[in-house]
Amino acid sequence: MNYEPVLTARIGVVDPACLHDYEAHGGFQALARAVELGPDRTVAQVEAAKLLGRGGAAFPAGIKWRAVHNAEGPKFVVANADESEPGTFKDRILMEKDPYALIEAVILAGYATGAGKGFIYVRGEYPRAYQRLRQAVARCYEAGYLGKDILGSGHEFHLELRRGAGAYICGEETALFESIEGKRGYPRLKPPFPTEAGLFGRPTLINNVESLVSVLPIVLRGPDWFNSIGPANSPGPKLYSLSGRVRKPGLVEAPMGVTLRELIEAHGGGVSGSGEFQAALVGGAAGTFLGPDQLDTPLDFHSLAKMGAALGSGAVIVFDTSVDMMQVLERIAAFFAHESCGKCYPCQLGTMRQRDIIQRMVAGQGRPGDLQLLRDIGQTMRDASICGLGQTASSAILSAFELQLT
Amino acid sequence: MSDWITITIDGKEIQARRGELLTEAAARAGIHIPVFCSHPKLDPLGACRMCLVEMEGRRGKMLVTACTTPVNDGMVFYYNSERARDARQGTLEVILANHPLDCPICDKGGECDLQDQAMEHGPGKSHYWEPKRHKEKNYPLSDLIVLDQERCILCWRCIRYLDEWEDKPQLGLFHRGSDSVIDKFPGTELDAYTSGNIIDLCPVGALTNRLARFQFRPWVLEHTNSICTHCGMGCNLRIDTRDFRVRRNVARENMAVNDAWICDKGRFANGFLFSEKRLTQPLARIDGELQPISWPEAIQRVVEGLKGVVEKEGPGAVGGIGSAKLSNEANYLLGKFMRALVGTNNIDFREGSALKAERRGVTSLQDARDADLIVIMGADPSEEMPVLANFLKRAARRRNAPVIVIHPRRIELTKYPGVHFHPLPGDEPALFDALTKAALQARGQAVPNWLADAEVSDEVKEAATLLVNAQNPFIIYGTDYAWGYGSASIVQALTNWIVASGHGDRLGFLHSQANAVGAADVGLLPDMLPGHQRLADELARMELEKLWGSKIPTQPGLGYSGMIASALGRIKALYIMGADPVGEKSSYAEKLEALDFLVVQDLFLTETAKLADVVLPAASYVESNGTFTNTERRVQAAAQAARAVGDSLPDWAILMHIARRYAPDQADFWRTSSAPAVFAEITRAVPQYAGMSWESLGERGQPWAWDALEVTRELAPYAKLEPAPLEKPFTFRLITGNLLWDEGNTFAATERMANLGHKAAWLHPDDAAGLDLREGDLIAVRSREASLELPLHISSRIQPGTVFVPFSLKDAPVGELFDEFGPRTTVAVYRA
Amino acid sequence: MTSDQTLALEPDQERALQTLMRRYRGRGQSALLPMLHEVQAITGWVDEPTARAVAHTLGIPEIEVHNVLTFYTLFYTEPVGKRVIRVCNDIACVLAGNGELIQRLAEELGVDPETGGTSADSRFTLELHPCLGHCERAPFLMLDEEPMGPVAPDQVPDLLGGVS
Repeated sequence: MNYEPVLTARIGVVDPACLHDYEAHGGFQALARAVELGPDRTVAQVEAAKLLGRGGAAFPAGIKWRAVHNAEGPKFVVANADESEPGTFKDRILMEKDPYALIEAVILAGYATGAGKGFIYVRGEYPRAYQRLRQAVARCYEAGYLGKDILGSGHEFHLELRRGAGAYICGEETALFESIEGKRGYPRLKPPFPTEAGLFGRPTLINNVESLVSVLPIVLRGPDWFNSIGPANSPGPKLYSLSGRVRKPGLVEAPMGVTLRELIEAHGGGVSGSGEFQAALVGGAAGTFLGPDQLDTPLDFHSLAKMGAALGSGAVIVFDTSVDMMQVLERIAAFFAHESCGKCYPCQLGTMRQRDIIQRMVAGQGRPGDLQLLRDIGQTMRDASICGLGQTASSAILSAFELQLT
Repeated sequence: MSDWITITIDGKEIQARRGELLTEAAARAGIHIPVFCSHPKLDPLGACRMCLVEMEGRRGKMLVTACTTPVNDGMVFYYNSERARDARQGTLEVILANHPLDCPICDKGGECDLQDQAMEHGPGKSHYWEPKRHKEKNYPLSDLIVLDQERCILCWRCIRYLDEWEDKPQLGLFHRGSDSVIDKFPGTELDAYTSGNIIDLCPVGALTNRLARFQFRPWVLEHTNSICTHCGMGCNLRIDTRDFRVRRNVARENMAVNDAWICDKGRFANGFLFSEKRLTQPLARIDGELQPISWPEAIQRVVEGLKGVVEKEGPGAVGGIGSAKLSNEANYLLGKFMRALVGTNNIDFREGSALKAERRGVTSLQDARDADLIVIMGADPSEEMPVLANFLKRAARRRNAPVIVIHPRRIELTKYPGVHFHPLPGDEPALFDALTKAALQARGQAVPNWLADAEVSDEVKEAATLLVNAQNPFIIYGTDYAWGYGSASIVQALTNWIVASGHGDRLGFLHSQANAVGAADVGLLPDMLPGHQRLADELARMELEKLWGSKIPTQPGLGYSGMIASALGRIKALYIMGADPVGEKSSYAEKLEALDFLVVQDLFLTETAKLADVVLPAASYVESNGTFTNTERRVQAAAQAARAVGDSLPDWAILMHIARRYAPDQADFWRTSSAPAVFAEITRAVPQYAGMSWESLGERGQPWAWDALEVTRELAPYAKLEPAPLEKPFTFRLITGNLLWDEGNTFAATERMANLGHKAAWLHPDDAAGLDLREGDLIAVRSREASLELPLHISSRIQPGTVFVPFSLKDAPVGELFDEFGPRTTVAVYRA
Repeated sequence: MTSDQTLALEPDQERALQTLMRRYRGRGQSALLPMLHEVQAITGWVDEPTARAVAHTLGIPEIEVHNVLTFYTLFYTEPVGKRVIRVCNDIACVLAGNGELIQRLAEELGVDPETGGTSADSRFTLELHPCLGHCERAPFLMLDEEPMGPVAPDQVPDLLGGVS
């Protein structure tokens, strides 16, 4: 509990509209440090930090940075700020309360990878974050952090903001590219991966907001500092979006691997409602339920993966014993049916059928064999869908049945 | 070859081509991986997930879509593994759970990919209880195509075809998830010219042919290989008949010609075949009225009528007019009959001797697809040959071939980058002179004196340089420049440019008629023998005389317009087969009325036929065997698919009967008893066809070689073109041209397509404003010769100072306006 | 399906739209989402003629505009109220009792609480929305672009009344 927040250190401290305030609180020092190190060594810092992507997929960020750094020709940096996983609000708070940090991180990524242009794709339902960033970008151009010869590095970098327009799928990186290109947010087939052919067909570094912001202390304090926090195989500070039946819902910064119990008790002030823990949904709608037996699970990528769960975006929604879990499952099923983009059959039709069956069960018209049917649909979606949306659309629901929460 | 590699599927090693898709490699080894979204003619999508197989990867086995996975040496796949099978079966089950399964009333039943795959890969039963979703079941996309959104399985083939091939993205996916539907922009109709191909591409019964809907079950249809005769492309068709009647046309793949595509005219405009207005029996003028008579009587009358004129006035008083729409056999026999039996060279067809064109057509249709530069002069492929236009669009989009357009209108192909010129009628030679000069300069060659004054603008220089530097340009000109007044000058001027650019041997002509090449090949020309041999060529003449058993007159005959014009003079009898001069220009009627004897052989009682002494009902090309030679000189067979209407007979058979009766002593030379036999005789008369036979034409046809006919092209000065005078009130230059949706006889007979044609005269917005005219106003277009009343269409595709009146408008044939300047006359335009 | 209705714009809206069109002329497909956001900020929703004008302005096929309009839930091809209330209807807000909030809003506006809808006077459209990412402020809603939460049902009259 004596962990000192790093990623959220400025939140509530600085005036998010004020560039000087940001500078006075350590702002743009990481960028300056990166320019001192040069692109190659900056990328090496990210590699050495073993930073795993914070958007949910936990892919090693260093591999992406190195690949784009090595790529030839025009390339792009994209900040994935399309935070839409139910129960997740960490990136929104970072953007609303400390917008310059994200901008600095994108500029730094552009410098390190040699990209001349960056995009921040902000979720359409986050107008305040968008306004704050827009103002901040303008200030950065005025101050010379954007444009030509940034901090005397000789590097020219431009940043453009884009707004989503209401589509969960656009959090999927290739669907996000399609959206920036002015199309329906359909995920592309991979390969090719974004580092080879991403936005406008060019090599593209795309990272989640929290991942990018995590790079700032990595560059400033060094990868060793980063590795000293949390478990060795998924190190660093982590943001958890804590909500549901806890007394103090909110954004929590803790070392990666904080246990579920610690998160709820120490940070969330304990379970509300009946006061008795029933379950927590970790990783949002695409995540998995943990039951009372799993309260001491460390919430890091590897520990959860080992038990067939996933940390995902770090969303933790808590349910006390008074909650009717079928209602919760109905929301989850409805969410995926609403958000499936429709490109591939398994997800398009599977999410629809999953919703219909759960709704029938909620209406008291369950049939023998429904559970097996849900498992079959789940397997088809998991194996046959193009992207993560369909592949995870059944995981929470099936895990709830596994835990016999219903 | 090193391109062959080895991959493993289910433990079996198979040979594959490096980089080809797994679906293709597997198919060659006899493993047919199921697909819905994937189609060999469309870019891979990977959306339907029906083709999932397991692939051995670095981190173990993973499921991949076979339709998007290029193979490489040593790759290992599992098609029949449990996981792959489950994934495919699960996918198919969710599709079937939403598909209406209304197969008994579905036009696609029996030729449906979903049925086939449910049979082979389906789970056998569904364990879903939820009701099926409901969407639009009868949603017209146009007058031609209807969409059933419930049957649709969202494979995107239709969307992708319109985008990837016609570059007219008019269908999209609206909404998302399970609400996703194929739809069009509100308030619009699909108007892509090759839209019907999406019916062939649709893997289920979601897209169906509105003209053929609910008329048959696919398995009762008889299939006949044929070709399309609406234009000079010669697209390959399969004609499906039931009860001896044509039910639908579908595209037949021929990679050398049309790939797998046909245009909507070729697919849908077949109503003329079974029109109520078809002629069903011979007619003869008795007591001033056309009345039905028997065939023997009709033939007797024709023979007597022609003989009477020959006896009284000599053979030079008789003429024969054939048609570029009719088969080689028909045109050959008409020419043979006139030359060998009547004894005259008065033979021609409308686009025959009058056309100042490259007889060989285009170098090859494949060249259009491989082009690194496209040059289009006085042709509009989008309207005249839509499938070729699609090839050109693809070359422009996928090979980045610049497009040089020289045309009086801003045609569709001007939307592609390149250089586009829109010279007014009369200004073309000056433009070509400038291009010629620029080309010579670019190649460091001397500019002759007569080009010294040509003015080279930056654009001219750019276009000239593009062509000089091109490696594989596709260069064509069209009827707009090669037919009518001044065409000799324009064609020489444009030839000069192409020769000066070093590509003289690539200059081709886009024949817009189905058999314009063939009709000339078989010698239906007043001054040329079959095989493009000159009439004066004694050796050639002797060979033919041997084949035909009689002397051929040596005096060149009259051409098409010469014969009609001379109907008031030395021509006393005409045999008109498949042509309608009066429909084209009503003032021809009084000329033809002056004839002693007129025979018309046609499908319909045309304006010309109404004047005839004897009318002979011809069978359509679908109702007889025949060969046609397309614009790349490909001789193709169209086999009989349907029973002839009424007592109509094939053109070739009618001519055989007449010839045998006309000269019984020559009957030995008129013994051929079938169209293939006539074709066999043609291969002896036409050297370029030597070695061909009806059988050898097969399903793909046989082209004769570009260099089988020597054509000399030289840079040469030419007669100055004097444009028609612009003087009050004739202050507009007339422009004509073909539009795909015309109102001609063969097209208008398909009633469901009647709304597609737009009868209008086109003016530039500035001119319309100057005359205070609005869209749709009735206007008069008047020449020194005649006047037409037409609704106005305002379009910025037209140059100021010009008025565009398309060919083949019902009751408003633009030919009425032609005076001594032909299609390049000047006209007055005013509110009617 | 899209609406047969067309927009009735005030002269100043027309002018703003024309200015916008000039600014976006020829910018291509990548400018489609930003342009539609800006168009909607003026017009509220996108009717058929406006969609066509957007296509022509950017120089892209018309179908692309409708592909995009119908995919993204924040774009409208049917009339919406002057103000749009998006109530979060996802897990955390359900747990926080958003049902009562929705019920109250629906009653006040005279629309179906199951589906939302537009009030008869066209002043408000109520939408039930997937997670709006403000779970720490559940139950949460957005009044146009203004975030509000937690919102108690008895705040609804003030909330609606305070809107001009």
